[in-house]
Amino acid sequence: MSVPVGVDARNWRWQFSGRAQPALHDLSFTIAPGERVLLTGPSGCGKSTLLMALAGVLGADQGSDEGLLLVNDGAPDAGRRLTGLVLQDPETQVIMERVGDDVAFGCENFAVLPEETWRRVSAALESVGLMGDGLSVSLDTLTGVLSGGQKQRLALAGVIAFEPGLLLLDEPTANLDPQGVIDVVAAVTRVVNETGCTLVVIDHNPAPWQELLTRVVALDVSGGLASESSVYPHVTRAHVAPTRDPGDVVMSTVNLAVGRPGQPVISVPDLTLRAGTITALTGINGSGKSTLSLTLGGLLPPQSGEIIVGASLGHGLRARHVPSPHLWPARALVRRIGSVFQSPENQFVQPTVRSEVGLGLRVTGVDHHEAADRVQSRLSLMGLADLASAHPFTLSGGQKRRLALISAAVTQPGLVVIDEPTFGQDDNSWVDVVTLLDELARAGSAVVVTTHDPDLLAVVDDIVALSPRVPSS
Amino acid sequence: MNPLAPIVASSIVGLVVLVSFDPVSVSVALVCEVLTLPWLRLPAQRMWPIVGIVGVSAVLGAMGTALYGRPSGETLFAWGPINVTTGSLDLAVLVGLRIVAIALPGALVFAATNLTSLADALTQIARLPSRFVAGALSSLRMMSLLADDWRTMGYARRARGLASRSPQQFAGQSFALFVRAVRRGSALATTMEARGFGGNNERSWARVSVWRTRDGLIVAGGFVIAALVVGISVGTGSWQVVVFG
Repeated sequence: MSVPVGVDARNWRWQFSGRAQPALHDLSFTIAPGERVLLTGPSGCGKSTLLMALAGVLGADQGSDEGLLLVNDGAPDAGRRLTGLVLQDPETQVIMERVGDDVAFGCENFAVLPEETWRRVSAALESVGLMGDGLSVSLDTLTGVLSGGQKQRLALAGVIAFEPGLLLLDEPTANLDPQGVIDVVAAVTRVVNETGCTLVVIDHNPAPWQELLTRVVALDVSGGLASESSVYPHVTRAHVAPTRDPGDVVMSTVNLAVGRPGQPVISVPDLTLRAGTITALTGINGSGKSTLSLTLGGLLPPQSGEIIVGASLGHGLRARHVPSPHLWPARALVRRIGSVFQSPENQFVQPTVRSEVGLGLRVTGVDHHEAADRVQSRLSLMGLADLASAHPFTLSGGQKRRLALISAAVTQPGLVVIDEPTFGQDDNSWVDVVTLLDELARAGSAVVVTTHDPDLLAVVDDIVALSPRVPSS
Repeated sequence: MNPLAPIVASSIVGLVVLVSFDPVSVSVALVCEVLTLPWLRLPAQRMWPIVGIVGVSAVLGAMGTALYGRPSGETLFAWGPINVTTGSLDLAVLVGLRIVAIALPGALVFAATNLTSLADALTQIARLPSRFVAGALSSLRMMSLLADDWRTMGYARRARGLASRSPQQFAGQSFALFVRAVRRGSALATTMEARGFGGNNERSWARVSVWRTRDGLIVAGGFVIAALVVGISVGTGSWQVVVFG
C-alpha cells in the first residue's frame, strides 16, 4: 500500500543549459500528502518541467537549480520510487512488447520479488480498467495493438504497480478521443481513491478532472508562481460566432475511400468543402480522420472514389495533374493546400522558427521583404515573436502546434487541412488558434479540421462524423 | 526451450561450417540443419521471406565467384575480366551453399525467438548487464515507430513544397529522422528512468529464465551435428580448412 507523499518548494529555480532565462523561478509552495492538485498556467510556462523535476528525471546535465525542491522531505531523484510519472504521448510510454511485462518493468527495477510483482501487475491492470471480467486485454496482449487511451491506462498501471505516493500526470488525455478521456480520468479517480496518493495533474482541459481535484497551483508566463487557490476555476472560452459566407466549392469527394500502406481501407462520407467555411471531421481514434486529412492534403492517393478539385483551387495546374491532389508537384501543392499533422514535430523541416514559417513563401518565390513582413505578423499573432530564432523542437507542445499552423497557412492556400488544431492550447492560445482559423476562412480558404474539442465544434460551419466502415464495393 | 539454447547450438554448427571449406562438410551441415528446423516451430509465412532473402544472397555470392573467381580447369566463357571456368563454377556452388548453411539457421533462430525472453536469458543466464540488454530491447521496439516517422516526414516535406527526390532531400530527411529518433529515445529513456530503471539499486526479474536439461541437450545436439560434419568430411577424405588471404 502506498503512503501519500507531500511536496515542498522553497524559492526553487530551474534554468536549462544554454537558455538566458530560467524556466522556473521563485517557486515556493507546499502540497500536503493526499492533496489533488491541478497545475496550470499558459502554454510554455514550464509546467512540464516542474513535473519532471518532481519525478526526479531532470538531470544535472540538462540544467541547474537553486533553492529547495523536496519530495517527502528528500531530493526528488532519491525518491524516484515515491513518484509515478505519466506523460502525454502514449507511444513513448510503452516499454515492453507484452502488457504484463510492461507493467512489471517498474517493479523489477525496484527489486520487487516475482510473486509479489505479478500480484501487483494484475491488481494494477484491474484498477485502471484494462483487465478483468468482460475485458479483452490479458498479460500476454501485445502492447502495440492497444489504442491510445488503453496505452495511457497501461502507463498508469505501470506506475501504480510500484506503489508511488505521488502521482504526476502531464496532460495524460491530450492525445485521446472523448471515450479515451473518460476512461483515463475514471482510472485515475479509482486509483487515487483506492490508494489515497497525492496527485498533481496538468491538463489544458481540466473540466473532466473537476470532481477529483481539490486545489489549483498556477504558474505565470515567466515560470513564476501566479496564484494558489483552493477554489477550482470555472473555465470559459471566448467563442467566435460563425457568421461566415460560404463561397465556391474548393474541393468535394464522391464515394471516397482512404487508407495508408498496409492498413485497412476506410470509406468516408461525401464532402463538399466551400471557400470561406470551416468543416470539422469528428470520429473516434481509428475512424480515419487523419488518413482522410492526408488524402485531402494530396499526401496519400485515394484508395477508390473521386476527389473533385474546384476551378479556383485547380487554376494554373496542368490538366493531367488536376484529377487528384496527390498527383500535384510539391511546389504546386504548397501554393494550394496547407496541411498540419497530428504530431507537429514530424512536419518541422527548418532549424529556426522564423525560417520554418517562411519556407512556404521562399519555395513559391514570394518577394523577400514581403515574406519577412508576413512571417513577422504571423509570429506576433500567435505569440511566438520572441521565439523567432529558437529551434522548433525546443518549443512547448502548444507552441509547436501554433507554429505548424502558421507555417502551413502562410502561403494563404485555398484549402487548409489541420489535424487537431486545439490540442495542448490554454484558454488564451485557444482563442488565438480559433481566431486564425476564422481569419483563414474569411480570407477565402476552405478550412478542414479534425477535432474532438466541443468548444471548437461549436464554432465551425459544418460537422462530418466519420465511423470506421469498410467500402461497400 | 530457453532462447539461448538454439542460438548457442546454431552458432556451434555455423562456426564449423565457417572454418571448413569443402563440399562434404557443408552438405552434411545443410542436411542436419534442414532436419532440425521444424523444432523451431516458425510459421511458414514468417519462414519463407527469410529463406528468400538468404537464397538471393547465396545466388549473388555464387554468381560473383563464378564470374570473377580464381580460374582453374576448363574455360567455359571469357569476356574482359569475366572468366568462367569449371573450377570457378565448382567454387561458386560451394560458396552459395556455405552462405545458406551459415546464415539460414542464425536468421531463422533469431526470427523464432521472443525478444523479451531472449533479454531475460541474456541478463539472468549469460549475466550481461541489464542496462545494456533492456536498452537494446526497447530500442528494437522503437524501429517500427521510426518507419512510421520516415513516412510522415516524407509527407511533411512534400506538403511544405520540398519533395523532389534529390540526394540532398534524402540526406535532409535522414538527418531529421536521426534527430527524431534521438528525441523519441530520450522520451522513452525518461519514462524508463521515472520507473526506476538505470539506478544502481538491485533489480529483480519478474520472468525467471530457466536453463533446463532439455536446453543442455539442444546445445549438445549442436556439438553432435558439428562432430558429424567434421567426422564425415574427414572420413571421406575431403576435409579442407578455409584459407584466408
